[in-house]
Amino acid sequence: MSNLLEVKSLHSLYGESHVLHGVSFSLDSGQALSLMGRNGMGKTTTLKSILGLVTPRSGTVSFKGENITNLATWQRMKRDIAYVPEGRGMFHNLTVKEHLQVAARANNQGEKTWDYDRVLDTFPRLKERLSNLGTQLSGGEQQMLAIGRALVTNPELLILDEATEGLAPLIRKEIWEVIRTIKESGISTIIVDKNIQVLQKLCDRHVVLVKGKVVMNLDAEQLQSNLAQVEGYLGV
Amino acid sequence: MLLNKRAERLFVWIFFPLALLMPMFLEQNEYYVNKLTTIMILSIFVMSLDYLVGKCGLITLGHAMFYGLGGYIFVMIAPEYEAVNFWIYTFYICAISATVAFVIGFLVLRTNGIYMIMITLAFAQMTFYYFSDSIDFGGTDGVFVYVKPETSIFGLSLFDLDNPTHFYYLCLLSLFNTLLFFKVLIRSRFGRLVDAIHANPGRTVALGYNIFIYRLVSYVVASALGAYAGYLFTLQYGFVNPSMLSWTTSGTALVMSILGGMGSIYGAILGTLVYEGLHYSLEHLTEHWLLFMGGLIILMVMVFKKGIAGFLEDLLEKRDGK
Repeated sequence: MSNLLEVKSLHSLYGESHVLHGVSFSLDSGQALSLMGRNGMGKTTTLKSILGLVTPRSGTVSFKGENITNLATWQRMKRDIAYVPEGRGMFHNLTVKEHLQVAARANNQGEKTWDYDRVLDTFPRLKERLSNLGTQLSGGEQQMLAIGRALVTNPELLILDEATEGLAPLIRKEIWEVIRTIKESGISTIIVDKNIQVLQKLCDRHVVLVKGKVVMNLDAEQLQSNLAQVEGYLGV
Repeated sequence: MLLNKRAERLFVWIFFPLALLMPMFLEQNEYYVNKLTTIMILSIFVMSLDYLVGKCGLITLGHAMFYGLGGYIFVMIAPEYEAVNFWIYTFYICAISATVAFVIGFLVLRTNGIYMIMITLAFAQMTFYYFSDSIDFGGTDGVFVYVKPETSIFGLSLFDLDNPTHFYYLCLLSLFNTLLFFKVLIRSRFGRLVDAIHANPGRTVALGYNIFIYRLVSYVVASALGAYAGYLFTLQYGFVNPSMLSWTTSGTALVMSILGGMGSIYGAILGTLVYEGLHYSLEHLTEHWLLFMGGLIILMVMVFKKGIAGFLEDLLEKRDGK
């Protein structure tokens, strides 16, 4: 299994506020990694630093062996990284259909495994809402569209930030099922979420952040044996 | 469907056939033919600005720079006493102004919001003062066009530009083509991406798009069309002067765009028609016409919050009971 993403000693600041203190972890191809921590511990900042949405003060981000730290966000995404942001980021002036059409593209290998039809088959609810604007959808439907929009870019790495937050339990279950399918299809994923039970079953690696530092970096077995300690960090 | 709103379809189906027949009713009155021609030229200019401001979210106070440049480029490159070919010079003017827009856009589009307004205004004012102070270009008097271009294609001349009715139809054709062009552009994948960038630039970047390039292309296209409108205006009146480049020209066009319904594209025609109609009616009524004009614009902007186009769309939706 080859190394897909490597984050080394990331230090990120918002103005004077030092948020990330040397965050390091790596992810292999085909793996799923969970990024856990209480609110305000730097999970989203870590993701944004990986994507270039926040410029780190120091540290490096390497993707498939290439140092992408100094690349613009769009250049990083063009290397087959997709991001499902917290809050979904719908375009208020585009319909569901247009959201998918605008984002759709083949990846750098020329593969189009995830296309418009496959996304609609995965999320049949969206089929009934094709002409609705992005903001005229329920929270669950918006989340499905946000994931669908990321999938049609045919990524090698999918980053999901709080994908199930604020959703009804049934919808949440549906979203987790889809994430499982995505993982099984070979797409590497980084998942930020608080649902440790689901993450435990789904992910191969688990990174726990406390005050912008990685305090635990565990594989699935290690998580099992250190569950109480992790739950303590998460305040569960 | 290219025209996706009912009000838009209705307007296009009423306006263009009516505009096609208008010179027949105004055969005896050249003044009104000329007035309507000017409105159509201004509509092209306002439409190009409406695309930039309403669709791309690029607020500029320097669009008149390209309007004026359209005229100045023509007098710079065309021989003074020789009839050149209108179509070839249309290409030259669009290409040169697009090149200028590319260079300026490259600098201007690194900013946004109030900073972009300031920088576009600065560029426009620099150009304005350059031509105002230039002896070669006639200073504030500008430059006259002594010979209008001929319009032959493969020996077939469709329009005689010295004939006001012919010129009217050329401008009507240009307006229709501009509207069609923008509608096709907006419906294309490029247009959808521009919509996405307008709605949420950060999200569009995170989808792997270099939004700077999309904005630059939009800026170049709209500026070239603005220059084309200025070229037509210069040919209509037979001169170009620095007032075409002034920031008040940009400001007036912005008011027309807001009045018509920003981002609606066809609203540019509505806004120009209403603004110019009011201008014409009021200036004949009182010497204090600007005072009344200002009051009426404030009133209309307050009543038609989404512009006249938005008002018509809401009206039709309400009538359908939606």
